[in-house]
Formats: sequence, structure tokens, C-alpha cells
Amino acid sequence: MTLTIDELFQPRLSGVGPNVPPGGSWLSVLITDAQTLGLPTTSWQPGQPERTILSIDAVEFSQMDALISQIAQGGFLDFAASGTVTYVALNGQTVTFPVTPDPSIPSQNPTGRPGWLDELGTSSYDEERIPATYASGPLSFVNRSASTLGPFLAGTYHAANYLTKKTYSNLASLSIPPSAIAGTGGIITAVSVGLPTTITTQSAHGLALGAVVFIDDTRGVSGLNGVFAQVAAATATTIQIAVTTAGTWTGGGSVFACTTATMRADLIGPDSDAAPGSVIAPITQLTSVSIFNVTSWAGAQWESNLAYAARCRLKLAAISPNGASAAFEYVALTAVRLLGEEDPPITLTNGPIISAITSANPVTGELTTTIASSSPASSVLGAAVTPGCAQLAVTSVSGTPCTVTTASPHGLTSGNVATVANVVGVPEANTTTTVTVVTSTSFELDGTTPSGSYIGGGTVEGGDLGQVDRLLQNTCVNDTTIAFTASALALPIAVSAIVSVPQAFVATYQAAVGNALVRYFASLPIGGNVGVVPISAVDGILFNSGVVPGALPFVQSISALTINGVAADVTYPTNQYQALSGVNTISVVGV
Amino acid sequence: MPRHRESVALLSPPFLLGPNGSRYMTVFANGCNYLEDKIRDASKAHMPGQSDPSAIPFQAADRLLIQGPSETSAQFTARLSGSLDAWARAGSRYAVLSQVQAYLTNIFPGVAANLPEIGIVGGNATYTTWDQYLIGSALGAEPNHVRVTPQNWNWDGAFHPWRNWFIVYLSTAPVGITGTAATFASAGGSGVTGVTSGFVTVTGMSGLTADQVQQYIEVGFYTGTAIFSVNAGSYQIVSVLSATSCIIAAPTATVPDPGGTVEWSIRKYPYMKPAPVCGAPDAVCGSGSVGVVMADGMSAADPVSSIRSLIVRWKSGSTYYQNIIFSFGATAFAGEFSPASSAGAGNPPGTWTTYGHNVGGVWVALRVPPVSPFTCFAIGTGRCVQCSQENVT
Repeated sequence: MTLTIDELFQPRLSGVGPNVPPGGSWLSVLITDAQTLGLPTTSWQPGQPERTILSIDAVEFSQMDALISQIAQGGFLDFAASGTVTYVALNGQTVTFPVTPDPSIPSQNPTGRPGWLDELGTSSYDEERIPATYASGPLSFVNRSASTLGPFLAGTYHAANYLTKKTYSNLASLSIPPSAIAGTGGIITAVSVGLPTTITTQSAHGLALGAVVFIDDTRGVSGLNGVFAQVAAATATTIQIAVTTAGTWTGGGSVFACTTATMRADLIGPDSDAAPGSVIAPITQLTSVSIFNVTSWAGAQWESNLAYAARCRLKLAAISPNGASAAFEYVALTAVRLLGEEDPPITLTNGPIISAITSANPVTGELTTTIASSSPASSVLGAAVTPGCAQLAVTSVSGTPCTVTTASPHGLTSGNVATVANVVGVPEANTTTTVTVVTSTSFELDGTTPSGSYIGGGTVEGGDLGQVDRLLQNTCVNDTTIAFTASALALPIAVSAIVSVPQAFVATYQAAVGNALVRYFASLPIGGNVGVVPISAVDGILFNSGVVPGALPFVQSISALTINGVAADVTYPTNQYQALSGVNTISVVGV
Repeated sequence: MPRHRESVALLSPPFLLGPNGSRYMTVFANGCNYLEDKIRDASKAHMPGQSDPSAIPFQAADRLLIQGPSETSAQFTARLSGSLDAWARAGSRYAVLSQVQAYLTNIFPGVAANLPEIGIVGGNATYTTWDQYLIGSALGAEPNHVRVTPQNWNWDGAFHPWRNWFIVYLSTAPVGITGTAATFASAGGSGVTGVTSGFVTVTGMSGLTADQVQQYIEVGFYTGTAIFSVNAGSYQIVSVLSATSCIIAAPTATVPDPGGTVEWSIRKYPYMKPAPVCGAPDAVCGSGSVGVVMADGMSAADPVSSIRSLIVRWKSGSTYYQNIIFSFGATAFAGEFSPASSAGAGNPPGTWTTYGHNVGGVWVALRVPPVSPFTCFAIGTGRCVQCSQENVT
């Protein structure tokens, strides 16, 4: 007779202790068995060899039983993901441990070690957990000396985030030549203040769009000296930078052409995220060199147990060619891996897609997959969370390299990958490559040389959004379906509250509550469960952030709780919005 | 491989083979045997057919299959084992129909193979496509596919190939109570205060008990003839007055019946049945789900939600199901929602909307003859969450 699920999931405790072993415990079972067989158990005294040996057996059996519980639960997605096992350790302490320590919770599984869920996912669903990624991005260097510094072999140049103290290293060999522009191309002869700021140089500066420059030594202008910025527009002797300046230029100043190198966090995961301008502390000390990150760097956390289990189930629909909704969601959520397996591999700049929903328009029959990236491209209300463009029409291709003009803003940034297809007249434009942005509606296809003139046609799949759309079109869309991919829109949520906790727990609570709110908002599906961010749930998050395993909750009171300034649920503007944790103001009061 | 009891005995030295020693080692071996069995069961717990039935719900959750309320564990276990084959068809009408068919297994006693009659219909302005499981369709068989030209399904005048309707054909089954001389004695109320019309007291019956409330009287020929009564049809019993008389909902009946007494039988819906009609003693406004409730003895789980969730899960992403139709007209309204019927005669005529339709500027109820007045139209796969346009999954 096979054992029931309850029997398999619930290990017997040893029952060893100062009291009579509780019914059902191993010691109780063994003694009962012994009695049945006629052994004189009632005359055994505590400490007597027979009873002591049975007690040892009971402890060993209970530990084996705990392992069996793990085996049984590990065969099912939900229990492998969130099940726990409880047993009494040799020291008499009750221990509860997860069937699969969740690597998205660093305190449970800091190294991302695979567990039962990973075994189940890979063996039964041929699906691997999406790993954490390193925060990474370009670091700009200005070298004001006359000498080239370096080379620094990969991993030997180090810098730090002055806010978080997280450290980063160079991914490839790095040499830092002098940043002074040859001749008089770096000498500033005029500055037009405002936003953007336009700088004129004495002679041709040779700077390309997207290049990072460093400005210094101007007189009469505020907000310009010591600034790193990307060239947003340029002529031979002018550059435009997105920097706000004021005053009147009275003379002086130089433009330096910065060296850029890709840096990567030394520790994996989002803890090493860096806001623009935060990586400015060199650890490798070099005279006359300053550093600056002009873009944000973001890493992704390991896929959580629950998300991994859900994705395994979604994959079931992906084995059909008929385009069930779950297939679209599976492919979008797995895009980071599927694109990474392409040749050459494509990286999602804003991290894995962590949320995806499908909706069909009953009037048109069009299917839209709405997606959200782990590192939102923007947290401004209504802005796209996943950057890029999908199936955007091309209106012209010209120049060398091929410069593509689009029918509407493309949403790309330099360095994004774009796939252009169906252009007639310029076959070289039909390619997948990185882009250099020229304007909001045009970009260069890096490394391309045209052999003809544009006749017509063409669409762009650009950035993370476009690459996910391309993947969906190629793997899920059958020949009678019209499908699109859209970015979720940002719904920033700012929580304000006063939380009273015992003085000894203030630091513990402050460390926990921020991440808990981020995790909660990220867990909400696009559009929300019932179209709102419930304030009661946020209240629960604040309370549960004061729960330590094995101890009583320590939060004593929560007051003045508001979401976006209102003490009520926050409504999703439409069902395309993704809740994002904004700037929270949690006043933790020690009592 | 010997069990621990035998192996322990083989390994034990002489001093452990005595009466107490061997007993003691037997206790140890029994524990080992139990753990060995438990390890084996734990390893197989996730395997359909290799585990205790208590594991079935968990196996189902991992395969995204739903066990029907009357589907046996053996039947469902077979489906679990074939889940990958089922998922390989996801997104097709076949997948939707076969999943609902399996879910509704064993709900129609007396119907061949105890499988339901269900169908999907849709199409365009030129033709209508029907896929149906009818009486006798085997479990998991390919549905009967029919393409009808010119189209014979025109819901609201708009033709969208991505729009479908799911139909559950529900039939009554006899309960074994029949008679030959019932009388439509008097028209009036239902017995509820303030309800003074729309109901008929029928007398001259036999064998009625309170169980017949919410069952149906099927009226056929006049007594001893082959002539249909003017009141031939199926009527909901709203109250049983005695073993020989009851009150039925019959707002259009002719009372008294000019042809005299009628032959009758009592029938019931074995799975889902229409909710009590308005004005009936136990009617609650808005009860049931769109006028459908579970039959006696069936699970109280909302059948509409269950079927809808199956459709949502198994349909293609771009397909929209306008309605789930529970057709109660199989007996008295033969031809209701059929590939053999035409638009306006059993099938929608192009003027139907969600709540009614406009005929020559006059708003009339959606469910007009020849469709059964009990037939229900549950919302399909639509959902409307904070959006001006109904969104669907």
C-alpha cells in the first residue's frame, strides 16, 4: 500500500526528550513495536542501553524522514518552490528549512546553489532557472596627463560606487590614452547655455554622437566645469550635451574626449546597481584620471522559486504550434535565455523580462503581449518599462554606415541591438547589429556599408522590446495571427509610513523593508490582480518586514500609511501598467 | 534484494539472535523497512499511476489539467500521463473541446460513454465552422468538423474569424415517473405572495414528491392519441402540491388544454440545470451563474467558471469566445444551435447582442423562440478590468 501525500510530506519527529514520546513520533513507534514483539519496554529506565539505542535510532530515522519529505515535495513544482521541512536537530532544536533554498532571497541561498526545484525544472521541463546578472555598463575615463596609462588586464582596474560602496572591475584589457583632443579641436570658443548646452570648439573636434566628453576650465558658466556628458548632436566644431547650464561664457575651457570601458560589478545581482554618476570613486589610483558612469548599470536577481515554477508550467503551452496565450508568456519570460543562445548572443540591456501578459482585441483579433523588464527603463508614470520599438516602420535608409529613419520615435539608445528587415534597395540594412542613435527617429546601423539606394519598406525590431517581439514572432505566432509586443508602462508607487519597532530592531527593519516593498511591487502582475495596489497589502508588507523566523513579530505600530500620498488603494490607470517601487519614506521609530 | 528484517538477521552475531536480541533487531529492521518504502513512494509521488490517489491533485497542478467533478481517478490518471500530448495541441478547437469533454465525463447518465455534447462554432461572412462532440463521440476523439456554406451563424452582423462560441448541450434524463392523464387545471400564481400569473397548476398526476421541485414535466400527446398537445413542451416544476399535483412555470400555456388530458413524464438535468424561474418559491434574484445551477448531488463548484477557465487555458491566444452557451433546448427545441439549422431558425439571426436585440426599433429579449427560454448565455473569455474596451485573454 502506497503512502499518502500527507504521510510523505510530513516527517515523523524523533520524539526523543525528557517527556513521554508523543504519539506518532519515531521513538513512540519503535517502543510500540518493541512492546508488540514482547520486549519488556515498561521496565526500561531512562538511560538504560536498550532505550538509549532506540532513541538514537529514532533520531537517525527522523533525519532520514526529513530527507524523504524533501524528496517527495521536490517532485512537485509548488512544493519544491515553497515547501518546507521541519525536524528536530541533534541539539534538540526544531529546524525548519526550505525544500529549495530560494536564490532570489540572498539570506536563503546566497550562491544560487541549485536545489530540488532546479532538478525538477531541468529534468521534467527542460527548463533552467534564469540566473542573476551582474550590473554592468560603460565607465568613462578622462586622462588629463600626457601619457597613456595601462594597460590594465581584465579584472585589474577597480572602481567603486561612492554611495553603495559596491565595487566594479574592467571586463577587457584597458588602456587610457590622454583625453586631450589633438590640435585646437578641444579648445572652447563659445558656450550657449541652457538645456541642452551647445559648445563651440576652435577647430574640428572629431567627436562622434554618443561619445562621452569631459568639460572643464570654462569661465562664467555654471554647471559645466567638471561635467561628463554624452554628445547628443554635433557639427564639425560644435557639440550639444544634455546638461543644464546658466550664466554667460567669458572665456576658457576645454573639451576632453573620454575613454570608455565596460565595467562589471564584482558581486552578482541588483545590490550592485549604480545610478548615473555614482561610480566616481577609483580604487585603482591614477594621477590625473577621473571616472564617471553616464548611464545606469543594473543587475538582475536570480529568478525566484515561484517565478521559475510558474515558467515551467507555462512552457507546457509552448510545445504546441497553435499559439496558446501561455506560450507567448513563456517565451517572453524566457527571452533572456533564448536570445542569449542566438549566434551572436543578444543581451537584454534592461535585464530579464519578469512579467508578461497577453490580451486579444475582440474587435481586431490582434494579440498583444505586454512585457516588463527587471530593470525598468523609466519609473516616470506612463513611461515604457521595457525600452525599444517593435515592428516600427522604416521611412528611409541613407548614408554610411546605413542610417535608418523611422516613422515615429524608436526609443533606442546607442549600443542597443536592432534587427532591420524587409528594406528594399539597401540589402545591407537588413541585419541585426548594434546601433548608434542620431536622433529620436534615426539611428546608424554599426558596421554597415550600403551598396544601393533605399526604395522602400522595412521594419525595425529594436532594443529589448524589439528583440522580444522578434522572438515571439518567430516562435509563437502562427500564420493566421497578428501579434504585437508592447512595453508595460511605469506606475511608480511611493509608500510613506511611520513604523514603530523596538530600538534594537531599527537597523534590521530598515534593511528589510525597502527590499520587501521592491519585491512586492515586482510580484504584482501587469495591470494588478484586481486593478489596484491594495493599501492593506502594503500594510502587511510593512508588518511582515518585522518578522524574524522563529521569533514573534516585532513591529509595534504602523501609522500615517499612504500610497502616493493617499491613505487608500492606488488604482492602475489601465491594465497595461506595472507597479514599481518609487521613493519610499518609511520613518522607523525605535521605542 | 532482501528486506531489512532478513538482512539484519543474516548480519546479527549469535548474541543478537536470542529471543530478546532478535526482537530488538526486528524493531530496528521494521523502521528501516518503513523508511525504504517511504523513499520509494516519495520518489514516485509525482508520477501519475505510480502513487497514492492523494497525489493526483498535485500531479494535476504541475500539468495544468483539471479533474472533472465526476471523472474517476483512473480516468484522470490516464489523462495526466498523456498531458504532453494534450499540450501539443493547445491553442486548437480540438484542445478546448477535448479538455472540456474530459472534464465533463460521467455527468450524463444514460448517454453513450457518459460524455457530454459540446461544440464550438465560429466563422466568417461566407461560411460557418462547427466542431462538435455529439452523443457517441469517444473520449479524446477528433471532433466532428463541419463547414457550412453559406454561413448559418450570425450573432450580431459582425463576422470575426477569431470569435467563437462554446456550446454545452444539456439534456434531461427520465426519472421514472410517468403518467397518461395530467390536466392543465388552472393558471395563476406560483404560491409566492404577489406572483399571480405565469404559472399553471397541473393535476391528475401520480408519484410526485418534493424531489420533483426544479425537475421538469415533459408534456407530449393527448391521452391515448398520437396528437401533440397544444401545450407540448418541457416545463419547470416550481412546487409540488401533493402526490398528484404540482405548479409549473408555463406563462404561455393554454389553460385549460382544449384537447383534454395529456401524457407526461418527469425528467431532470443530471449535471447543470436552469436556475429556478423568477417567481418560483425558491428563486433568488441573481442566483446561480447566469441562470445555471448545479443539479442535485453534484459539486457546488461554479460550472461556468470551470468551463471558462478551461477555454481560456486551452484556446489560442488571439481567439475570443463571445459566450459560453448552455443550451437546454435539446428536447423541446431540437435544432437549437446546430450545423443543420439556419440563421434565424435555431441559430442566431444577426441581431443578437449581449442583453437583447433590436427588431425594427423595438428592444426584445435575447432569448426568443425557437431557442429554449431556459438556454443561458454566460460571458465567454472576456474580462473588463479598468478598460473602456472589453479585453480578452
